[in-house]
Amino acid sequence: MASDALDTNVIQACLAGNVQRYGVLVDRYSARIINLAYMMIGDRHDAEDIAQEAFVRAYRGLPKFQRKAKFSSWLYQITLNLCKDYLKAKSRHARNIDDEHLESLDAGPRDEGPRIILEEELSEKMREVIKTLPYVYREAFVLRHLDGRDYDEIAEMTSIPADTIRVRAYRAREMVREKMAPAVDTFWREKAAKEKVRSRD
Amino acid sequence: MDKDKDIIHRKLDGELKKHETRVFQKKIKTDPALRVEYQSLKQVTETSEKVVKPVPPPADFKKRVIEDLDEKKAEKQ
Repeated sequence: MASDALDTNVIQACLAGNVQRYGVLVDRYSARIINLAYMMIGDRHDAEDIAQEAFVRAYRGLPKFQRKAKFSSWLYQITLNLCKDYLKAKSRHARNIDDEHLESLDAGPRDEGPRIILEEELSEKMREVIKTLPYVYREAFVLRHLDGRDYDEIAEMTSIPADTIRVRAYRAREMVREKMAPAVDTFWREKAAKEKVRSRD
Repeated sequence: MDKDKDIIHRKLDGELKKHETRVFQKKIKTDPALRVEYQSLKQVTETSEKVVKPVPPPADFKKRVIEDLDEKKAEKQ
């Protein structure tokens, strides 16, 4: 069965009062929703709580769910709104990482000489940099690159015109590049050098 | 947005048509600045997709959601 048809089928069972059947949708979308929230807010534990709340709200909203949209797009929309609320509440207590901290994440040449950048380290830096993008750019970058959505899908999820999303995604790439280019460059150069040595052995 | 930037980003999105791809390839051969701009953006975006690995959901995640729904249903009744 096609995934949208299966979603519709499950939704009908849920509307008839079968809560357990909702587990099918949780299984299908939990990884994507948790990762979306994690990338948007930068805290894994809280991201799981947000994802849980998103699934609960979606379930409770099923009677009002407009089936013109896909269930997954609607679930993404709920999750993004929860992330926005979370970040708003959080920003009242603390500021985002400042530029000074961000600069310390750059892996450009340092006095102590060249250093090896591991993939996990690069991944962590990337997460940190994405976390510091202004919300609208982070949203566009995460949905486009880390979740692999096209601009029309993102427009449906966010109720923002596709052309606006496109411009934000372009700008977000440039922002990430500004912060990450030295580390990414070092990472690939080292990787190539290691492979060269390995192929000689 | 200027035309060069637009074509770079559309190339990164895989949206260029055949004839646009030919124009783009010609352009980056003759314009080193454009080539550097394209390559650095390509490298960073591709790397982000490669290294930022998704985290798995906790093993009890589905159970938590269903229990939460059951509790809320019980509260209502």
